[in-house]
Parts: sequence; C-alpha cells; structure tokens
Amino acid sequence: MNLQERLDEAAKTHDVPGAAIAVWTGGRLHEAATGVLNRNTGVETTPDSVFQVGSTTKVWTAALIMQLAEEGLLDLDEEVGAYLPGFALSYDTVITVRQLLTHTGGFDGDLFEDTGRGDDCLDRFVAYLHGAGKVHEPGELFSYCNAGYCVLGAIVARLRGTTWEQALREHLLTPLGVTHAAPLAEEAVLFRVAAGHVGPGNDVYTRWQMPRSNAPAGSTLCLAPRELVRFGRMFAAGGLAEDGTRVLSEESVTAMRTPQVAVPGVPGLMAADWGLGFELFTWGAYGHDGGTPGQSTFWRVADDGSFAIAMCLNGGGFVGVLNDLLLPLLREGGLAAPDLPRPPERPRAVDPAPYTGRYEGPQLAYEVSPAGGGVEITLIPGAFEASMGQQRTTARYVHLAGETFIAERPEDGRHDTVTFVVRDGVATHLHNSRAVPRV
Amino acid sequence: MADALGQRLAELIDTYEVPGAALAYLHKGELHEFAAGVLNADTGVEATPDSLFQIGSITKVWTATLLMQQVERGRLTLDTPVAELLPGFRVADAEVSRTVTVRHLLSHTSGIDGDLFLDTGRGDDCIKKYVEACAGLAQNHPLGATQSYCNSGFVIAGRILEVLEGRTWDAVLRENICGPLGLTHTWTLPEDVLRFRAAHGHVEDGRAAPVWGLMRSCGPAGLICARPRDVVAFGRAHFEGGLLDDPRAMWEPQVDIPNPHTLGRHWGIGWIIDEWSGRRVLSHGGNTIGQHAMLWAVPDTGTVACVTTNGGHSGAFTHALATELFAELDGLTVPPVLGPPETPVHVDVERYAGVYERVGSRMTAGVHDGTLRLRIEATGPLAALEEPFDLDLVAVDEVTFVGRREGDPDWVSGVFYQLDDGSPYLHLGVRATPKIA
Repeated sequence: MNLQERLDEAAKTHDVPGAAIAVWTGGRLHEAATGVLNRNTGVETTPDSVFQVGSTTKVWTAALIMQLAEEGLLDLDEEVGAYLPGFALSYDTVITVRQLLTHTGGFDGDLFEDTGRGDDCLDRFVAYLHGAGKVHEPGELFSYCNAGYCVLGAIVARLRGTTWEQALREHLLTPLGVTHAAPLAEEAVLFRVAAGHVGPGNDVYTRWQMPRSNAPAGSTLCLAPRELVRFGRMFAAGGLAEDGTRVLSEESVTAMRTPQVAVPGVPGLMAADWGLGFELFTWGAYGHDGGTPGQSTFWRVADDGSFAIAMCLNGGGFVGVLNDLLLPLLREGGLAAPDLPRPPERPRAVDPAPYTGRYEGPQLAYEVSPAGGGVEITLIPGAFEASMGQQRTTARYVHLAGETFIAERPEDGRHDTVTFVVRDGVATHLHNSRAVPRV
Repeated sequence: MADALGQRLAELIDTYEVPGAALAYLHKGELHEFAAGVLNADTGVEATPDSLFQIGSITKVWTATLLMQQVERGRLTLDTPVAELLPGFRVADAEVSRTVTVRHLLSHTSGIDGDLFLDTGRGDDCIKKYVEACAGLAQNHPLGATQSYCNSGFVIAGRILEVLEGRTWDAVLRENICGPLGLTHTWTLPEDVLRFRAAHGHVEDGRAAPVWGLMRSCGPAGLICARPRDVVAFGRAHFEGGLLDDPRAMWEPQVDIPNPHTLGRHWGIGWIIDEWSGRRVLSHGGNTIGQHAMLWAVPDTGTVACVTTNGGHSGAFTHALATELFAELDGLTVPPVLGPPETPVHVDVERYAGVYERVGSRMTAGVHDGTLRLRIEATGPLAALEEPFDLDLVAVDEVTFVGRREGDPDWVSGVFYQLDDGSPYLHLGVRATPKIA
C-alpha cells in the first residue's frame, strides 16, 4: 500500500511538521512515520513516537465507565450525584451517567480551568463546575461536553479509589498490552514525544500540554497510533484484547456502538450519531477525533472489524492529509467515506429571520445576521479562546440542507458548517458540535 | 583543541560505558560545547549540546543563590531562624526546631536527617506538604556540630522561598534566575522538559531506568533539568555578576568537611570548596535516577565547566574528564580519587570497631585478622530494596580508610573523627554518622 511514500507525500504537500500512522488491514498492521516531532529539536518521528491523542481519550474514559457498570458498581441511568456527591452545577438539575457519556447533560462543556497538576485536580475541577451554566435540558440535545467527561473521569477515580490515570493503566492499558502510552508528562518523556506546532508558522506550542483537570476528556494522554489501533481492534473483537484477555463484555461493546443521540447537522464525513463514547458514522465505521493545541488525531474502526486506522499529526495541514491520504485509505479499506461538505454551486436563498440574533456560550458568542440569501456569522471569542489565538471573525454562510449552513470560503481547507436547532419556527441554538443558546 | 575534545568526549563515554554526555565550558571568555552518544538507549535519540539533562543536586547551588538574593534584598539574614520564616516549622528536636538557621540549611550543618525522600504528589503544594512531614525528622548530629549532607534542608530552604515570594519554587527559579540570565533551556517539570531533547537515565547493564525522575517534592534539592551551557552561564554569574551583588559570600567556607577526600575540603553556602594546585575551586555534583552531572568553577581563572551524563560509570567518567580538561585549560591538577597507599600503613583499628547509625543507615565496623570490615545496611523503608554489603577497609592514615565494593572499580573513603564534645563519628558518603555502640 506504499503507506510510507503516501504519508511522506501528503505531509510534504501540506507542510506538516510530523505525523505517524497505523493501519490495520488485510489481517496485519502497517505503520509509517514522517517528518519531525518538534521543529526546534529536529528529532525524527518514528511509528512508535507518542502524540497527544486528545479527545480519543473520551472513548477510553467511556470504556472505564462501562467496566464499572459491568461490575455492578455503577448504573448508567443513575444520577451522577449518586457516585460523586460533590457534583453540582450553578442550577438545579438531575443528570445521569449515560447523559454524560452521550454529551446530552446540557451544561457548559468547554471549561478548561487549570486546577493544578496534583492528584486532587479532578476533585477540584468538579468543585469548579459548581459555577457551570445551563445550555439545554438534560437529554434534550447533543452538545459536545468536555466537562462531562471530566466528571466521568472523577467517577472512575472515586469508584476505583485511585486516580483516573492509574485506573486507565490498571483496567485498560495493562490488560490490552499497550506499551507506548503516557498519561503523564513524566511518562511521555521516556518516549519520542511530539510537540504541537501552532499558527501559520507552525511554531512549537510553548505550553506543550493542557491542564490535567481535563485529562479524562483528552487533555493529556499520549499514545503511539498503533495503540489506538490496538484499542479499536479490542472493540472489533467484541471486547477481547489481542491475547484473549476480556477487557469489556460484548454487551458493553454493543452498547457503546449503538446510537444514543443524533448529532444535529447533515450526516457525512462527520458523526451522524453518538453512542456511549463513540462517534458513529453512516458509512460503516465508528471512532473518534482528537485535538490539542497543535496536535490532531484521527481514529476510525470499520463496523465489520476488518479495518482500523489511527493517525496523529503535530501541526497544520490536517485537512490536506485527510483529503489526500486518510479518505483514500478508508475507501481502499472498503469504507464509503464521503468527502468533506462543500457549498452548493447555486445555494437556495432562505428566510434568515428564524436564525438571526445573538448566541452565547461560556467561551465564545456568535452574532448571526442576514446576508444575501444566507447568513453572516460573527464569532466573538471569550478569554480562553482568545488566549488560544482565536480572533473575532466574520464569515458568510450559505444554505446547505435542512437547517444547516456552510461557510462560503474554506478555512484551513475545510468549509465550516453550522446547524440551527429550530423550535416552533425559531432557532433556539446555534449548533456546531456544541449547542450555543440564543440570548 | 576544541575538535580534539569533541573526539575525546566520544572516546571517554565509550571507555566509561556512558550512554550519552554533554559538556560546556567557559574559558578565557569563550564558550565551548560538545555532546556525544544518545539520550535514551530505547529511543536512540542523539545527545546534542542543547539537550536537557537532570543536573540533580547542582540545583542546591541554585536554591542557595535564590536565598542569597533574598538576603541581599533584606528579607532575611543567613542567621535568621527558619522558624521565623516558616511559622510552625518543626523537626523532632524542639530546640533545633526553634534555633536552626538558614545558614545551617545551606551549609549542611543542621544535623537534621537529610535523606527523607517523600513523595507528596505532583501538585504545587508538594513542598509545603514535605516540610510538614519534616516534623518527625531526627538529628544525625547536634545542631552546627559537623557537616552531614542534607537534602531535606534544601527542600526546607525552597519552602522559605515559596513563602517569601508567594509562588512555587519552580516559579521563583524561573523568574529570579532563568529570567535575568536569559536561560531558555533550564526547566523543572517534565511537561516543560519534553519540549526539548531530554536525557533519560540508564541503570544496571545500560538499560533505560524504569522511571524518569525523582518526586517533585525534591525540587529545591535536585530537580533542575538544563543544558550544560545554561549551567555554565549560572556559574559564570557567580564571577561576573548578574544574580547577586556579592556572590563571593557564597564561597566563604562555613564548615570543614570531615572527610575532605570525597567532594572537597569545605562547604560554603551551597557551593563545595576545594583547592586544586593551590587554586580555589567551587563545585557541586548531582545524581538522580541514572543521571549524573558536575559543575566546576575556578574563580582565579574564570573557567567554568559543566558535564552531564545519563548512566554508566559516570562518576569515574566526569572525574577523568575534569582531570584532562583542567590540566589543559588552566594547568590544574585534579586530585585523584583516594586509594590505598603504596606502602601499607599499620593502624590500630580496634578503637574504631562498633556500630555507627543514623536514620536510614547502619554501619557495623568489625575487626577481622587485624583489618577493619564495614558492613553497610539500609534501615527503615529502604531496607527491603538495598542488600547489605561489606567493605574491607584499607588504612591510608590514622583516621582515613578506603574500601571498594566488590565489582566496583571506584574506591570510597571514610574518616573516623570526634566532635568537639568527644563523641566518635564516621564520615562516609558525605554524611556524618555517630557511633552508638
């Protein structure tokens, strides 16, 4: 399959600092690596280099929760407070464990408060959530919620009587036979380790790592791509590790892969539904994406288990590599993955009235106004987004389908899409994986 | 010379089975840098002059310098009692708790058990928690009576900095030393270190150590990671300024080291002070999990050198390197490691027989066929990890003996001596241990 040549070519074309890929197909593992892990040090990427795998970590946290359910230590439909007495938000509500797993809890999800690097960071983060605001009623909507996965991690830590990291080691990494994993920086430093590159100049990100408070949601875990493939193959094998060790029950694996909630938008390359932890695709695959400052991870497993792919990349150029390498590989693996959406040549003019207004979340706000037959959306970053380099931007969107609009111009090779959640003829939320309520 | 030295470094790491090393030195105002070998045998990443190594206890000179900055700012004196700076400070001895001073801590003369390696977590409160746990620490010797290497004293000193500055020790280091000197390759936490090429330690048979670093609570006593060039810049500031108005205050001998054959003759504030070919030499070394580093500074010539290593016979390696380097640069003779005398010396050893014990260590001296055999055993939590071993001691003079552990090429030395009050001690491994039976 010339994986090495193809990765080299895609990385070169799109000015990627470094990338590593692992593909399971035809009954064997193929690996390749390209470029450097860090443009300051010049250390070369190898297939066993570890990268920050970002939110793919959420599936690991979900699996830890499923193990607790299997052992009878937890009921997915019980309220969170039953396992985490300190859990409370800024408003009265009852949220179940399942709702956290499916991103339907309905509270502010993008809270990256740094509660320190100590083992008490998750408890302190849960206490910090006492100030978290409401986005929607529990179970009403899908709205991607990092904070919910931090709470799940805190439940794992509490019920296992240890840290989330140690539970991950004992209950997943060790039984799976994972060798190239680093939940903590002092472990990552033992490996060839990628640094993120940010901005137009692909400069090495100076903080390297996000706060540990968000570890169960994906802020810290480092893996070699082959370890994600190994994890994926466990699901394909109905919960068995390579050596036959049972890691999850078949029932848990099935439940994690069963649609629990639809993602507002137009199904395509992006997930149509969410299972328990997993993104579920209409084209015969499941998986998850991951991103940290300057690092991106792509992870997909075919429904029939014959194919699995994980790629990690440490800078710009991800969409280019997606188009040039990952989509072709998926298709060669028998998966009919569609292209990224593009604006129609002649978009339908729509009445903007239901959509116009201001939508506000904890980290950013949007202003939507009429523009031609579509809408103009202004993104107003909050403090955290601004610190990550996000600027106030205005872009014109045209109608794509249903209540979904697509940006006229691509950014980093991708046309952004936005879906409005409409009730009684009026948009209640702007939705772009996060639901942002209208104010 | 420079090219030849690069070649020589590669030869020496080979001879001493050191996986990787980096060297920087300042000579006649010019900086020279070299590197050889690999940072980690598992990853095969090559060492470069910019690579970060753990410099271990060289960190103590940095912590001492940070405190001297506070002294110069008038926030304390060297003779300020620790208890005035850290309300509630306590060790096992009530009198020591009340009267131990900053000077005692920075010159290893407090007598407080120095080998508490307690993991108090990776959070910013780890040093505060460590100092609270010092409440149970016993004395190795009476306050100020002799010198005994004391890691815990430097952690306590680090806590003083945190309280005075209202920030973590790591932040104080960054802002008060790294900032002013422009040190870009000096860090303390792994999440910062791994943005650079970072060395990993190697243990028996050249295998990569199972873990990378010591617990964070040791920070002020030994957790800096740096490239040698940054360490040289730090040493240079003690000659040329940049950190202290009067860096010489740190070179004043505070105490004689009872066994002058191991690291040097005196301890200053942070610095170890020795004399090579009649010239004063300031130094400190560091050892962590498989990593070893040395810093030497010669005030008379202005030469400063730092070498960092990640395993093998690293102590013998850095000694050999210093011997060649300083002979060439400054015409100085580095004292050889003390070994047995050419002509055997007869000493009546019966008077030394007995049990010497401090927290964590027991040494039993017995006489066998007229020679002294020292059985060394760890006690307490480390007892299960370290096998007891014997050293057959060879007399060098009436009070000085050397011994060599089976399979080890390096001689170690010990000195039997008495405190002013007449109590007998053995000084070995830079620590003072009282005779208890």
